[in-house]
This record gives sequence, C-alpha cells and structure tokens, in this order.
Amino acid sequence: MGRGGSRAAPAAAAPPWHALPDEVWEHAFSFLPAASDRGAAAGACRSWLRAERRSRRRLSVANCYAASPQDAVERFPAVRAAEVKGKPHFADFGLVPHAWGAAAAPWVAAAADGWPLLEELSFKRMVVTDECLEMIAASFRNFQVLRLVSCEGFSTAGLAAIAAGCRNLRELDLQENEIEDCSIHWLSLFPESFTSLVTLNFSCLEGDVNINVLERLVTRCRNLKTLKLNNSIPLDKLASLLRKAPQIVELGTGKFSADYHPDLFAKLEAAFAGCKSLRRLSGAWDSVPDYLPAFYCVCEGLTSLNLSYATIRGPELIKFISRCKNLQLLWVMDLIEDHGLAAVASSCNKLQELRVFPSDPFDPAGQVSLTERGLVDVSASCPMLESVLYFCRRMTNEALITIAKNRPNFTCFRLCIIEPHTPDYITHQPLDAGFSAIVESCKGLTRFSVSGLLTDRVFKSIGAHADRLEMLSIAFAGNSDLGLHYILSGCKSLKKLEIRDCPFGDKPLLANAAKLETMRSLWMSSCSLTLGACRQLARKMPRLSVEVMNDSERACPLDSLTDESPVDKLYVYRTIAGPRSDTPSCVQIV
Amino acid sequence: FCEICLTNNCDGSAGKIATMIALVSSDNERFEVSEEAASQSQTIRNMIEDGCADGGIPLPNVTSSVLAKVLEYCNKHAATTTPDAASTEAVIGSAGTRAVLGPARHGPVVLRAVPCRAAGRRCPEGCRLDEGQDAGADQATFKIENDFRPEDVEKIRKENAWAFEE
Repeated sequence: MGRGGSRAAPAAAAPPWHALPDEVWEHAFSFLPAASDRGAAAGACRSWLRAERRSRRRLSVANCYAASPQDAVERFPAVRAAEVKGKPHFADFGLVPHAWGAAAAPWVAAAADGWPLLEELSFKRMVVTDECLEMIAASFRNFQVLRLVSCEGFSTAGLAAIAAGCRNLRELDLQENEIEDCSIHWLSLFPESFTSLVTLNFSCLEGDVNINVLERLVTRCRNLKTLKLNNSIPLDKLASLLRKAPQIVELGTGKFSADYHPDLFAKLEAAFAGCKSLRRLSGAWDSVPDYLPAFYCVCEGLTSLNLSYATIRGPELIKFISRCKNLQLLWVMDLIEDHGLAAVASSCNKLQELRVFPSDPFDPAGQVSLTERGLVDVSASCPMLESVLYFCRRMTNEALITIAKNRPNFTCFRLCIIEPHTPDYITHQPLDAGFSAIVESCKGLTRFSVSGLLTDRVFKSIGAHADRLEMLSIAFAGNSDLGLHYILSGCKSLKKLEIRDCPFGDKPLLANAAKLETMRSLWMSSCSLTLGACRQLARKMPRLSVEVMNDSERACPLDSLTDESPVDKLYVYRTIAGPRSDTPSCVQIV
Repeated sequence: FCEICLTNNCDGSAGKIATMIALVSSDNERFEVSEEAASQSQTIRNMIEDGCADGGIPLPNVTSSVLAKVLEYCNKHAATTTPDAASTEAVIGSAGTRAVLGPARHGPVVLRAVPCRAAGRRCPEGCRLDEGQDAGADQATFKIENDFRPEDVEKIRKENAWAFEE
C-alpha cells in the first residue's frame, strides 16, 4: 500500500496487545462461549483474568458444593444465566439419604444480592423451596427462564409467586420434579397482560389445573413453542388447546386415553393436522390405540418421540413409529419388544438416540420379549445412532461384539441387564468380552454403564482404552480391588465415577488418591471400604471433601467409630470452598 | 505527531484538507477519523475502495465506548506501526470457538471481534487463524507478558476447572 512520504524506521516489536484497554478484551471474550476456553484464557495475564471474569454471562456450577455461592457471584459479576446441580446421580435410585443437602436457597440469596440482572436460573437435583421461588420472583426484574429438573421441596404456592411476579417470563420448564399440590390455582396468577411465554412444561404436576385459564393463557401467548401438559387435561380439551396454538413445536399430551368416540377422533385429527410445526412429541399414553391414527399427519415431521410413560404396545405402536421416518430421538418402554425395534431399525434411519425403559423391572418372569436382538437390529441399521440406554434381561458377548463393530460412533452406551450378575445366556460366560469390544471400538465414548456378570478383566480394557470417557457407572461387577485400580489408574478423561455393590476396597482408593483431584466426584456404596481408609484419604488430600454416610437411622458420631468400621456410602468431590456446613446427621465429613 | 492524519509519519500534506471518514458504532455514535487512519484496517480500506464509505462505515459489533477506547489506543500507538509488518492477529480459544481481533495491515487496529467458524479459514478481513489451544499458545501469538506468579496461574486454572466448568 504505502502512501507518499517516508516512514520513520519502525520498531520491530509486536503490537503491545497487553496494553489494550480492558473493555476491548471483554468485547472479544463475549464471543467465547465455552467455559473451558475462558478458564484457560483467564490464566494468561491479569487483564485477561479481569476481562474474562467481567464478561462471563453464562455460569455452570456442576457441583453446588465445589464453590460457595458468594464466591461465584463475586468472581463473575455480569452473569445473566446460571445453572447449578446438586445431588449425585445415584439419588435418582434412592441411594442418597433424603436430607443429604443441595439446598438452592443460598444460591438464590447470593444471586439476588449480586446478580440483579439475572435472566435465567436452572437447578438440577436440588432442594428448591417456595421461599426460593418467591425470592426469584421478587429479585430479578428481567427474569425470563426458570428450569427445575429432578428437584423437590416446593409446591404450587411457589409456582404462583413465579406466575404473579415474573413479568417477562419466557420459559417455565418443570421436569420430573416432586411438587406438592396446595390446590392453588397458580396458572390463574399469570396476569391478563402477560403474553411472553415460549415454553410451558408442567407435565410432572400431579393436581388439576383450570382448563379455561390454560386456554386463555395459550391463546394470548402467541410465541408459545413448547407446551407439555399434565395428566389432568382430557383429550377433548387437548384438541381445543391445539387449535389455539397451531404454531407449537413441542407437545406433551399428558394423559392420552379415553373411550373411543368418532367425533373426538375427528376433532383430534383436525387439530393435529393444523400443527404444521410440530417436531417433538411426548405423553403418558394409555392403551387406547384407536386414537393413534389421529397423529399420523404429524409423524413425518417428528424428530423426537418420548413414549417412556406410554403403556401402548402391539401392532398399532409399530404402525405409528414406522411412519416417523425422520426420528432422531426415541424413548420407549420395552413393550415395543424386539419386533418393534426391528421396525424402528428399518424405518428410522436418522435415529441418533434410543432409550428403552423397563415396564416392569420387578417381574422376574419377564413377559416382555425384549432381548439383545432389538439392540443389534437398531445398531446395524441406524448409522447415526450414538446414544443408547437399554434395559433388558439377557445379553450375549457376540451381540455386543456385533454392535461394537457396527457402531463405532457411540458416545453414550448404557446397558442395564436387570438381574445382577447375569452372564452371557448362551455361553454362560461373563460379559467381559462384549463390553470390552464396545470400549475398544468406540473411541469417542464419553458415557458408559456396564452390567451383567463381569470380572476385573473388563475394567482392564476400560482403563486402557476409554480415553475420552467422562462418566462411568458400575453395579454388581468385578471380583477384586484390581477392578477399581484399573479404572482409577487409566481413563484419562474421567470426571464422574459411580459404583454400587462391587467388591472394591481401600487399597485402590488410597493408591490412586491423586486421581480424585482430576475428577469431579466419586460415589461408592455397598463396597468394601473402611472408615480408616476414608480418614487417610481425607488427610492425604485436603482439597477433597470426603463424605461418609451410614445407616440413616443410626446417627452415630464418627469419632467413636474405629478405623475398621465399614463404610456404607462414600461420596468424594473436589472443592474450592472447603467442607460444607449443612450436613445432616447421617452425613459426616471426614 | 500530526493531529489531522493521526500519524507521526505525516508527509506534509497536513495543510491540505484530509478526507474524513465516519465510523459509526453499534449505538449510532459517529467518530470522525482521517481516511488514512481508517484505512489501517483492511475491512475499511475495502469499503472505501468499493465506494461504500460515503454515509459512514457501520461497525455493528462495536459499541461507542469500545470504539472510543480503540481510537484512543491507535492514536497513542500509531508511531509503532510499520508498513511492512505482516498481519498480526489475536486469536483466543480452541478449535471451533474463537474470538479474533481483526488485525490491520499496518498496525493493531481493533475493530471487530468475530466468532470464527472453521480453523484455517481465511477471514475476509485478512486475518489468519491459529490453532491456539490454551492460554500458552495464545500468549505466544500475542506475545503477552504473563504478569502472574506461576502458583497464581495454577490456582486460577484449577479454580475455574474444578468449580465453573460444564
């Protein structure tokens, strides 16, 4: 380029980037979404640290006890969206004592104080009270998104506060929560002037809602895209709701059962025909297959189908699913059986995620014909399948080896053979070879659950090959300490390890103590641990929180117990906050 | 230092009326700079050459407060520019997510931070993407002096990874 005139002899130094004003860096950092990138960049120099902290808008706290709420708020003053997770995953199976902790209140209080502009709050497996919800409604003038997943501790009174107080609410998403019904008509508390709702999910609510109020709400919220109803909405009301909201993208039908009436069928069919944007469907469908054809017009467009609460079975179900050629996600009950999955395999070639849940896990006779066959068929025919959760009663090594060969692209493979210690049903061998094949073939595997009869050998494979594995769940498996040692000394990327009922003891835990600082958390219950080992671990690794839980009835002070005392439940996690102060009597921090 | 053309290398044409270009921030504030100074950015130079600069050059990604700081910075550091310096670009972030501070042919004019979709892609502004994986690589690219003690860096990374990552 060069204009006329001579330039002064240049200094060859690189531009002094560090002298750029902080606002410039904050502006640049606002384009970096990933927390790991931001965390790394923050260590470059002081001005980057300041800029990164001041510009972080979304905060993810994957373990509510890894940091204190005050610390989070001070560090990241500009946060607009926060997600906090509490109890360990095994809480879903009743293994975590009821009063364990994970209260949302301190987080809500700190946020109310330090993040007045907060717009989104998401809690998972935490105790959220009505007071928390009232505080949320009162503290954040631009609050828009509330997501509660697997939480408990609140009632419809808390929902009423949200409805009444959050003028700009866009999303109210309640997934799998335990909500107490106080017979408060919380839906009525959305003002008549309120029209901003985009997502309304109250599928987990047990009680009744006022249908007329719901209809008026749905009518005036013209941007409503997700509507998930609960069991109290009858079918004819579903039809009229759909007519008011034909723009709907995601629908949860609630209870879908009634005696067959041709009028009602016609109404439903017409209503669904009007929903041209419907892509995701769920609901608790009882056995009235006569109404399924009313859905046929939306099948082609569906990308997600969640029938995990639906007890329909047989040819009608298969006819329905076979029309859903563009399905990417399918959650079903094992009532679909092998021949149903064969139909899925031939019709749904775009399938990415499959979950098959047990309809009756406690029935040993197993009336349902769902075996390894179904999973083999789907794995063979669905090239984009990468995530599987499969409950069944029998499996073979050969099937698993075939699956591994067909689908090296699995990122999530969770196989739950219902009866513990079940071997290969043909050869009667342990299933080591099968699960090893999965882990050797699927280089991108990030989540893995194993089951059936397994020896230490499978853990040797997992430790050696599962380089990208982040979460591993083990139950009733292994034969010695070696099993745990293989895992903890391998699995480079391991973040969460949860183990129950395995013969793993103190030695591998202590030998791999340092590994625990590279992981988010470790859960071990009904294994062979002693209190002495836990004490040693806590002494050796002061930055870990070592929690011991024994029989909830027996609130025996730890100090009186000897080193040899068995430990029923152990939960270890790294934390920058030091030991928590809200432990109930059944939990002790060593 | 020549206040009209904002450089130390004025060729004496300061007496003439310099062509002024307006840069318009995202919140509609206009900043008048000389065409020469504004042309330090490849983007702007292209727009001038294409005849698009008449109504002022909009910078929809940049607020007035940031733009004011940038221009203040450029004024201070115009003297260190060199006509033949290769494009230097600032890249933060790992594969897939990058914040790129658009470089200038002749100096560090920061006008846009853009998310870059693909590694190795040549951005229209003429910047080159590097595979910066962590702060270490970014520091090399930037030649930033790390003013932390080593134990502080360790602490910062640990705290972020342990508590504030997905």
